[in-house]
Amino acid sequence: MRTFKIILSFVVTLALTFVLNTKIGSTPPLGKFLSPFHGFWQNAENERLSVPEHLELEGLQAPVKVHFDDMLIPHIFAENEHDLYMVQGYITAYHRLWQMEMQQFKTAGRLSELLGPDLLDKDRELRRSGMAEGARLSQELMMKEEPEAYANVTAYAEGVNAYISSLSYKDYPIEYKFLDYAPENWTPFKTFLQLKQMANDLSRDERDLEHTNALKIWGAEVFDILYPERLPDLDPIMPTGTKWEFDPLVPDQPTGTYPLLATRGEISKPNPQYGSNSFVVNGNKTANGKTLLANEPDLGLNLPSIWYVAHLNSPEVNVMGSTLPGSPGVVLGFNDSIAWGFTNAKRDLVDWFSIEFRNSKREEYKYDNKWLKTKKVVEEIKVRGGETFYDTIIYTHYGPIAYDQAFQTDKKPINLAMRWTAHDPSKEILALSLMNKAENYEDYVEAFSYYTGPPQNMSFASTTGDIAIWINGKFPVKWEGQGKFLLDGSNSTHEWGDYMPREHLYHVKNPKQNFVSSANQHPGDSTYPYYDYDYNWEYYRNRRINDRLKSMSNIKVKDMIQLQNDNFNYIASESLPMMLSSLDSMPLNLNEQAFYDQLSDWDYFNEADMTEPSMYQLWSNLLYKKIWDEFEDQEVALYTPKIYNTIYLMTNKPDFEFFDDKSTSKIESAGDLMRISFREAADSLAIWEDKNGEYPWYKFKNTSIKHLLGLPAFTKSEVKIGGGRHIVNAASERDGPSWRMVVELGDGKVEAWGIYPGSQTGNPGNPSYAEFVEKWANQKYEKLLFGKNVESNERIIFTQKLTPSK
Amino acid sequence: MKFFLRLILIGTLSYFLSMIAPWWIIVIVGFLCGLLIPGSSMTVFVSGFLGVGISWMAYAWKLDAENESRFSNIILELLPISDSTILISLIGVVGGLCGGFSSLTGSLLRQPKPKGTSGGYYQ
Repeated sequence: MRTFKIILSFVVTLALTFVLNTKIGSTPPLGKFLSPFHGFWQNAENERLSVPEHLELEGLQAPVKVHFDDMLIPHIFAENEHDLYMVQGYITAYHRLWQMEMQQFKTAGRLSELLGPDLLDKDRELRRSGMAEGARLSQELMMKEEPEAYANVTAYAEGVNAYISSLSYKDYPIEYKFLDYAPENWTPFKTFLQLKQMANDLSRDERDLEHTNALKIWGAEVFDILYPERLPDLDPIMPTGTKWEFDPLVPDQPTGTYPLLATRGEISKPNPQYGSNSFVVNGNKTANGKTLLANEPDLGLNLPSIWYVAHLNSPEVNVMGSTLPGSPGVVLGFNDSIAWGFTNAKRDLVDWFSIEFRNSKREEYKYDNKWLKTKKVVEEIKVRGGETFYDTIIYTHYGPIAYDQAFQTDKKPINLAMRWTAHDPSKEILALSLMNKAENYEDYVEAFSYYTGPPQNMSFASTTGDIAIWINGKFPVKWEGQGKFLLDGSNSTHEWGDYMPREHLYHVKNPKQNFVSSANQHPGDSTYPYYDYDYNWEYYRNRRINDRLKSMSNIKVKDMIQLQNDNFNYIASESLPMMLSSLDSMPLNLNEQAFYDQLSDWDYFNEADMTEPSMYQLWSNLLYKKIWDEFEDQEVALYTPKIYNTIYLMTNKPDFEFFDDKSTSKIESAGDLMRISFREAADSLAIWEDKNGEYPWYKFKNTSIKHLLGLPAFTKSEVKIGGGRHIVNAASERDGPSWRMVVELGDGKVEAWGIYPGSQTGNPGNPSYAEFVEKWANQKYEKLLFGKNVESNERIIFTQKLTPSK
Repeated sequence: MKFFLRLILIGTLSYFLSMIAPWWIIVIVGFLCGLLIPGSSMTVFVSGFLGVGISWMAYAWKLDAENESRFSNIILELLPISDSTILISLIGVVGGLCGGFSSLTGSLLRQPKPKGTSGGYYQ
């Protein structure tokens, strides 16, 4: 009996300890997590900043000072570049370690290792798109050819690792405790992965297979109506009349047809709504004769924020701006002489090649009259709480076969190889490092000559009054239509050939109009001698920005801020009058009449607390859905036409066959659909209002800054901000202005203002967590503290001294 | 008096050793104190439970007060409970169970033979 008791008690104790030390389902290990000495309580910070005043850091070569200002932006002052980037890595990890590492897990296709079997397909997708290989090649290239810039990456890694090794469980960011794992060592490779992650977000989007499917279903004539390459009234990035003074490379246009293989499943795409705005005005348009540059990348709105702001100073460089946690240097910013900004330069940079294997061994594939060898790579994907998954990926000379019998093809014999510019080795790290030190236009041109991708419209301004824009990146020279559809991998004339020479890329310096701007629209007009296709150009933000810039003069910083926050709904201004006039012949009930009257009086501005934008948006969504209902019952992957083209068709082809609802005997026109959807919108809003009360635009739209794990407690929802999709103030539901910056340059001086929807800290237990969100929503930009001497500035709240360990 | 001695020892050791050791140090503390300071199963269990439970609750309460409950209120949104007092009590129970069972195990190992039903509550 006694022995039994001992054993029982012992087993209970052990079992209890084990259970409380183990993550069960999504419940963190309760013993560890709840222990006030170790668990979440340890992440509760009482001060906005709590770092030791003195710190010894192994590997530093000289003392470094870090001055934190009242925004918690670190101003890092080092005596050499090694120390500068090492401390940048250390401080960034202090604020953002979990996020930095999580991003790498995502890009490397390792999410199931942390989150379990549900993420397996996501991981396979990422591994099958060949990014990690691209990152590895880039690392090798940089190590071999650019040792100086590569040293920045290793120094940064040293700093991150110094921070990681100073931690014990109780110091881990709370997310590690939730998911129950420990931070890994940081490696230079992860920095290269990070840059490929940007390429994934910004240059992987395309619709080639959907195009093939649409072509197969509807034929070429209807295809061109649904997806035209150019429509009237574009407002491209290059000012009209820009001359192309070069002899273009001319690719041979092959004859023959495209393979018409229907694909049903498809690898998920990056968010196609990511975009950005940037505009620069020179002294002729500003009130004080200085130059002004504004930039805002519209990306996913998350906490911790994608950007981390820092000021880096050493004898070689003095630069400030937004950095990507995980990469050394500044990505978007300014120094003592110049400022620069990016918007995404969309372009179809992923093409798909149908591969014909010699036999079921899949060791050889056809290429003209030859059989080429494949290479097989087995990817080992660890799965938490499950068996390790082995995925065999076959590589061709084009790139990985992403779709095959094992993935996304319903086991049909379809084999599609992916060719993407991000598969190639590249030197973005060098380009950015040179740009951080650039002093003038020539330096800027030189720095970004090393830039491959994701291609960006890079705007520029200098204290000497120059303004410019270059569209930099690696672009294959394509024949008309190349890569718009699935290509034939056995036909060498379908393959990419040359790349555009740098000097042939779009650029303009100091144009007559006294400003440059970009907002992801068409880069040039139809006179540009190269074929530059994308399915997803912007048609609205660019026009609003240019309309405004053309009419503005005596511009001040506050006007730039106002334009960044402009809420004019261009889509509504071009469609609502037509939609309302379609109701002329229709009898309206009381509720509908009120709806009609309110919309008739609306000035097309999407202000946060107005209800008209919600009414318009709902009506417009229902209408769009009705017009393109033909797409809903198709079995293959497709996408519905763009809103700009939809409005163009409603206006110019109201009897287009897609406007007819095939389920009725009547033949509907665009006007009929407007009337039907109006009635539905009025009804459903009345019901909604009964249930939920008012529907101001910000609630209807629900801009949320979401924690990366989606935990509601760490998320800011229903942020009170206007704007929206295709509006200059691009704050949409889950994406929008992720960093807003305005820089004023002139008289040898640079001043800047900025804000982003997040906070420097990534710790939800810090009182400053998400502290900028409200300011961001209310256009309250912070002046950025900058200069060669900030130490004595009153805005510095704390100075940390780091010294080499003895 | 042994009850109090054990309780105070378990509480104090748990509190200070937890600052430097992993969370399961409380299991070792409970076990050793149960082994070294004799008592009936019931009293040993209770002293272990209260010793660890009180030390966890006291520290949680201290941190929460210093933090003005800002962070515990955020964490509560993730849990099926709604009040930080309940959260702190729950922490006491979790720590207490570990302390109780580990000291009971220690004490059972030590007891040369069953004591029967004699013996008061306070030994």
